[in-house]
Amino acid sequence: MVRAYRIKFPNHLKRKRHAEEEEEAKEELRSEAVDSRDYGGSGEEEVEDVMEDIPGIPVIAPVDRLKKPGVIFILDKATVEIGKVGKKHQLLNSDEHANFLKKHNKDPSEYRPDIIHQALLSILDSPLTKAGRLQALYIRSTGRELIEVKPNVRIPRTFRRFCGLMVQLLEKHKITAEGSREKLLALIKNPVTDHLPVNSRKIGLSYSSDKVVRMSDYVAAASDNVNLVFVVGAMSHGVIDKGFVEDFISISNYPLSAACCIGRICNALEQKWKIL
Amino acid sequence: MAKSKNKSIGGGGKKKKKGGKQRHLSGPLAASMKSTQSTRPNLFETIWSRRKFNILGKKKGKGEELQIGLSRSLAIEKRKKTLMKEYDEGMKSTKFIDRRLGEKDASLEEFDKGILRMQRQYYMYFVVKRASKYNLSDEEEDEFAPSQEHFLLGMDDFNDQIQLEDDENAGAESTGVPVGGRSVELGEETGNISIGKRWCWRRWRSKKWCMPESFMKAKYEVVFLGGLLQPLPVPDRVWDDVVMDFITRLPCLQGHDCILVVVDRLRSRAKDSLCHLMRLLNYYFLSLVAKRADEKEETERQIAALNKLTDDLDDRLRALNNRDLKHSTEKQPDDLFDSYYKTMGELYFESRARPSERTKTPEEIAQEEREALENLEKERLSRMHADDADDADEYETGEDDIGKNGFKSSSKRDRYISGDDPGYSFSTVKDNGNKRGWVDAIYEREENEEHDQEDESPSGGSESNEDDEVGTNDDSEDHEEEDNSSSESSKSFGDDREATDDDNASTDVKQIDFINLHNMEVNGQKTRIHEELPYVIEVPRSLAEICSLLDNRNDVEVVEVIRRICACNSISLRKENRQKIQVFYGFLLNYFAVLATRKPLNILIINSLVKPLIEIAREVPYFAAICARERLLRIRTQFSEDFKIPGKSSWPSLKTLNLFRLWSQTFSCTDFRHVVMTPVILLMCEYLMRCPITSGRDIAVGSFLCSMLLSVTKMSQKYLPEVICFFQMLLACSTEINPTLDHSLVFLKLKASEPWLLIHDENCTVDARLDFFLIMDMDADSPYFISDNFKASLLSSAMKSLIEFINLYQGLVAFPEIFQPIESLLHQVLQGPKLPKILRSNIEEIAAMIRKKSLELQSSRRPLEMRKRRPEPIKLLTPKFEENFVKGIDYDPDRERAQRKKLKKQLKKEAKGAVRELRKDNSFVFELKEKDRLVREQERADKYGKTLAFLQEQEHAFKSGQLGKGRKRRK
Repeated sequence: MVRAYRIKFPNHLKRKRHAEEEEEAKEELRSEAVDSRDYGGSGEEEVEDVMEDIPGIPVIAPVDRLKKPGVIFILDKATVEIGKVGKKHQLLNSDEHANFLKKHNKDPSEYRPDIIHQALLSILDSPLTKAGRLQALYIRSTGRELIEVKPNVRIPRTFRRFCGLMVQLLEKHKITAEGSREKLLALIKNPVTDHLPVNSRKIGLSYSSDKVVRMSDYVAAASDNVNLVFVVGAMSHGVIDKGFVEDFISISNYPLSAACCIGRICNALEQKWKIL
Repeated sequence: MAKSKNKSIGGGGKKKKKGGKQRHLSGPLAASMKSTQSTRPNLFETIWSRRKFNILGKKKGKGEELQIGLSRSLAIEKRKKTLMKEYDEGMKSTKFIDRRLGEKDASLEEFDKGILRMQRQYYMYFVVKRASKYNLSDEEEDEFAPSQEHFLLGMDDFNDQIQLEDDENAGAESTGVPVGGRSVELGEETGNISIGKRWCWRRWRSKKWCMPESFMKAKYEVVFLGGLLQPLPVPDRVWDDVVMDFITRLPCLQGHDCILVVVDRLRSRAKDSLCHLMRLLNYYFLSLVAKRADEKEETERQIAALNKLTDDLDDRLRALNNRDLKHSTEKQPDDLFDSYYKTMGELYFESRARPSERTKTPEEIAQEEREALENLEKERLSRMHADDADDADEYETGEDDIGKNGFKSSSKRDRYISGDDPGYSFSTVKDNGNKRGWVDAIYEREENEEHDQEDESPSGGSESNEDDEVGTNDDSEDHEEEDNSSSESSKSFGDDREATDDDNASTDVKQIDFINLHNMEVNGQKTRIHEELPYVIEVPRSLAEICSLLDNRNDVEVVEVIRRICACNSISLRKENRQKIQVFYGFLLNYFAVLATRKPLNILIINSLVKPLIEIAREVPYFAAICARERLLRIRTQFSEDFKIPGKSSWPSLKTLNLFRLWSQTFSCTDFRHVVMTPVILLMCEYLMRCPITSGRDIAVGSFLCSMLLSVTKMSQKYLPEVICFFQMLLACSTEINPTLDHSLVFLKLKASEPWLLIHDENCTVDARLDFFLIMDMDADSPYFISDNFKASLLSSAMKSLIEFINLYQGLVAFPEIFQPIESLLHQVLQGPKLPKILRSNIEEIAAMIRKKSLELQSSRRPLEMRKRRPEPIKLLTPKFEENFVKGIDYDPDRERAQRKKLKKQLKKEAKGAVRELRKDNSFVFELKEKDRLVREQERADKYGKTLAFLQEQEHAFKSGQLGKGRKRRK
């Protein structure tokens, strides 16, 4: 396997570089300031005139992405656990490691990483995410690990590869992007509420809740100033952690799978924000 | 102090044996516990390091079994043993250093040390002393064969204490003073012991019991040299121990191929027999060598190893066959064998596959054709000269008996020309077959091509038939003239002639059915035509020549003449022929053009000329294109001159139209830009656009041009606005004039000044097929053009081509805009009351079609979108991970770099560890020093206090006058 291997600079070098760059930037700023003083800001006006002079091309103001409201998902009670099966470390999975789990007095039906895979795919493949409206995505595991998933990650399509990814994530505590050192998946510090924005509204979804709502109406009622945080369970049985959830709702009269539930939420939000 | 240390040494040897259970109890602890006798665990030592992330099924690894508290206390102990000792001794002036053998080695046990020392002593005494008596021993010599000793010790089950210590421990403290002094160091090195166990040992192990065992061991070690390689015991008697061996696989000699060798171990009497054996073996060897040499020669003679293999296989097969044969002879005699040979015999006579003739190259085919024609010409010429004699014979035999004559002539002539056979000579089937074969061989191709033209040919043939019947073979010129005249004249009553022919032909064989007869006749006629033409025709040099050659001939003959010319002067035969053919093509084209201008229009010949022209043009495409372009230029200039003269019709003549048609068939119409076709199309469009309509004939020409353009552009789907314009004009002509109707129509009316196509009679007949040549033949002022019949049929044909154009252009986006005016015009035409019914329905249909299609297209149109752009999705990043990730493996593709990194990591770790260790050592030493200092200070303070107290006491006493009885007392 050949891939780009980026040269890692030692920390002291990095620091030095950073400092140099900052100085350069400062100098540039200074020189720019001098320039603008010299010309009295006439340059900008000229540019604008030129833009207006070009016929047929209306000048479109750059879209401010930050102003767009977004959504945050939390997958709760996910079972991502590594086991040493044979010689290898593998993500425990009720299909393949049923005997292994029984041997260790565990219930195989609890180990369902495929639910997480499906849920992740349904979130990250939705037009909502493609439009850049997914702000963050967290996975809380049963083992008290908190995984942060960046919205621009391309999750492996096959479950086998996904398992490999999760194993490496849990062993190394982070996964970087190919070709760059941007962290795409990482284990982060608990609790998850520290990572949520201030004006966020945490909504838990559960079949057990008595408050059955129509998702599109519910979403439409929510104001755009509030960040919506949906907590969806990624387990086969049970109820999500109610610790920090403000609103506990049910969106169907039937128990839904995590992927289906996420699909509904995404659809409702896409309708609300007119994402086609 | 010494005593306590010694006690600890006693347990040193046992550390290994009972490791795990009592691990926590280190030396000094044990010492302290001796007094307390209770094992209270250090609570800090029970602390274990825990994993951050639990991995199910994973055992505790190397780093994870670490007990932090325990290791800490162990480290402290170690420091106490080493650092503290050093520190303590650092202040002493006298030190005791044990330099004995193996004393520093903690892994050795007491007993082993004892043995080592003994061996050393032995070695020094017996070996070294004698060799170098006066040499002093070096330090290196101390390490005398240590590896061997270790090896021995590993196997030793006697890992117990040495009896010296036992003895010392058992005896009183006073006995082992020097020994105890020596073993101080030992105790330091060997570490911890268990007190209880040691006491147990002492019970049942005594000196007497132990000593001999240990000495035995030491002795055995000296004598016994090694493992299994011991000599066998010497046998007592002869033949007690015998070795027997077979030597097999020898080549057969005198019926023996194996030797049994028997050797007695005691006497080794085999010596004599071995001599025999040697001789025998020598003989064998020699024979073997000879044989090998022969074989080698043989193999060299063989060419390849493969051959040898096949030979082998053959041999085997033969052997198998033989065996089979044996079997078969035993079981079923001869049956199988016979049948086999029978089939073999049959196969011998069977025809074998032979190579077929190879496919001929075009050059060869042309050559053969030419040769065949030349042969035929030769025969024809010879026949022409020799004919007289034959004829005379025929006259003698009697010309009245037709059947007989025919039979005879056929039999006579079939040697050279069976084509000569007339239709009535087929009395026997055999003749017929022969003749057909002859014809097929030469004219097979043409038969297919000219099949449709055969209908016209019989008339000419019949004439010649009659001639033949008379039996006069004149020169070809006469025949040709006659033929032509007949072909021209007999057109109207060709059928009648045929019937008479039939009568003539079937005079003797009436029972033959008509179809057969007809076929035969056609055959005969054709061959007749060919016979009359010369077979080898030179390429004509001028237009006059070609006219003389082709004029007054019917179409079949014309085609044949051209074919023969081409065959004789095929381009593939000679290079000069290309020029000849080019010239010929030019003349032929000219002739083709001229034919159109002749007044009695012979369409058949014009038609028949098209095919050879196209074929020749295919051979000389470049020249054909040049000809076409030249002609086009001339036509164009002619047109522009004509256009300037007012009142003169500038529409193209029949000749031009013919040429257009020819070129459209000769050249590719689908090319985006073609040297000939593009100007042709442009010119045709120009005609349509610019020529004003002055008569009904012009309209006919225009519609013909339209249909021609349709056929040209059908494949390429070019859009020609001129055609649409012409259709509009045409429709405008067919409406009554009311110029106020439309502005666009005014422009059209300029060109078509009169309603040429306005139909007045509702009951006129609509002729579906207008004969274009007939129309072209007519004068422009002919009353036919004013007749309603003409108008209606022209309109209907125009409608047909309009439908085609609609179908052609229906894919265009601008279809509605293009055909909207036509539709409105169509509606206007429909308003005219006097349209024939068929035409009316036709026009209505077209209007409906246009409307439907334009609606369809209009509905499918999308509104314009300004700066249409899809939103861009966020850029996705692929995570970098390994499929089978194993922790601790560097997945760097550069192995060297990974290795370096690993080593660096290790170095860093080690360095850190060392620094930590040093720091801890320092702090330990500092603690010790501090303690010492404190002690010293304390001592000093005590001393100071004591002294001060004493002084104070003294002073007090002095002052109080207790000393010296107040003698020195002051007042």
